[in-house]
Amino acid sequence: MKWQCRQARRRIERFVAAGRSIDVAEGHLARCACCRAHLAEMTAVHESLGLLRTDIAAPEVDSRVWQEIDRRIAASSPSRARAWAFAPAALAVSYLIVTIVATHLPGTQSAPQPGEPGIKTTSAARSPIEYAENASGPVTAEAVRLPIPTHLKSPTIVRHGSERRNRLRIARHTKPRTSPAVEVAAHETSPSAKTPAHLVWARWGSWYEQNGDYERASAAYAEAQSATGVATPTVYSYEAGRAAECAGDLTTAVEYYSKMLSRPAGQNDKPKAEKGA
Amino acid sequence: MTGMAVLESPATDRTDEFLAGAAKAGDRAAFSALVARHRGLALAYARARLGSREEAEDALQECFVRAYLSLGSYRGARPWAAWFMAIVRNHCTDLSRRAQKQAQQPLDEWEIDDAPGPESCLLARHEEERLRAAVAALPEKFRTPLRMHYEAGQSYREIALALGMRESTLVGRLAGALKLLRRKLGAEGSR
Repeated sequence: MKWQCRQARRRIERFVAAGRSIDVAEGHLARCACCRAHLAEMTAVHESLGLLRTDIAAPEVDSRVWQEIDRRIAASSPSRARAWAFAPAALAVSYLIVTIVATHLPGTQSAPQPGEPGIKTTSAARSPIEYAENASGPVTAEAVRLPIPTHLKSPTIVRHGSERRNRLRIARHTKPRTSPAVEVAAHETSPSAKTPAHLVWARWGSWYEQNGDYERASAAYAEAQSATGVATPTVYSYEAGRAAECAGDLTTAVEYYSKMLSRPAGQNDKPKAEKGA
Repeated sequence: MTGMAVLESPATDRTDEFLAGAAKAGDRAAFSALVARHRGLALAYARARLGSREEAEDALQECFVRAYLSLGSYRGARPWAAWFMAIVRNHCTDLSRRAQKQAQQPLDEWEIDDAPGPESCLLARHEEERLRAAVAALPEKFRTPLRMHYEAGQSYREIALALGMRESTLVGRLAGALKLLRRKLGAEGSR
C-alpha cells in the first residue's frame, strides 16, 4: 500500500466516523480505485450500524432515587446513634488504659523505705515479674539476677501493679527475680533462715544504687552495718559513705569515712556471718 | 478543538452547578432537575457499557443515589455533569468487573443451556444479529462509544462528556471501531 493510500484511508475512516461526507472526485480518491472501495466499505459499515438504533426512553427514576436516598439516610442514622452509644464505653476503656499505663510508669509508685523491715517489704511491681522456680534459673529470658532480699512462703502472691487481676501466684520454693527497674511486692513473706539481715540490707542498698537513689542506698548500707551487730565499722560503712557522697551529703560521707579510718588495724572488712551466706 | 464538553441546560437557564449547589443546601427539586437532565446520557452510557437494560437502569438509580449522598464532596472545580459521569463510569466499571468474575466461576455453578433453540438459529442468520455480535466482540474502548453513538444516538459532544475525553479522541475511537468492524464483517462474509 502506498503512503498516499494509507493517508487517504486514515482520513476516510475519520471522516466516516465523524459523519462527514467526502468528495470522491477530488484528490487521491479520484485516481485510486482501492481507496474508493475502502470508502464504500466503510460507508456500508457505518450505514449498517444504523440497524442497531434503538430508542431508549430514559425511565422515570426520580421517585425510585428519592426512595433509595431516604432509605439509606434512615438506615445510616441508627448506626450513628449506636456508634454514639459506645462513646461512654470507649471513654471508660481509654481511662482504664491511661490508668494502667500511668500506674506502670517508672517512678509513679513509692519505693520501699529502708526503714521498713527488709524482709516483709510490701511494694508494687511496676513491670513484669520474672521468677525462677526452685531457684533453678529464670523462667523468662530477660530475667536479671538481682536477688530479692526475701524468700517467699508458698503460696505467695506477688503483685504486678495494684490490680488484683495482675497478681502472680508463686509456686512452692519459688524465688522471684526481677530487673533492676522493678519493684517487687512480696506479701506474706518471711525471713529466710539462711539469709542474714545485713546481707538483705546490703542488697537493698545495691538495688537503690542501681536505681540512682543514693540517699536511700546510704541508709540501707547503714542498716546493714547496724544489722551486723559489730561495733567496728565494716565495708557497709564505707558503702554508706560512698552512697552518701554520691547523694551529695558530704557531711554524712565524711562521718562514715572517719569511722572507717578510725577502726583498728587488721579488722576484717566483712562480717563473719557473710561467709556462710 | 475545545476541551471537555459541558452540557447546557436545555429546559432551564439554571446551570448544573447552580442546581448542585442548591441540592447540596437541601433543595430536592434542584436535584430532581439534575436527574431529569442527565438520566438519558447516563442511561445510554450504562447500557452501552453493561449491555443489559435492566442492569443499566439499576446502575442509573444507584449512581444518582451516590451522587446525592456525596454532593458534599463536589467543590465545583469542574462541571457537575463531568463529575457525575465519573461516578457513572466508576460504578459501571465495578459492575463489569464483578460480571467478569462471575463469568469466571466454575461452570457447574451456572445453569448451562448450550442447545440453541430454533429462534436463536433463525436470528443468528439475520444481519442485525451478526452486526450485534461483531459489535459485542469489540474491545470495550471501541464498543462503548460505538454503541452510544449508533444505538442510543448520542451526539459526539455528549459521548465525549460521558467518556471524559475530547471529541477528537472520540472520533479516533469510532474510526478504529469502524475499521475493526469492517475487517470482522468482511472476514465473516468471505467464509
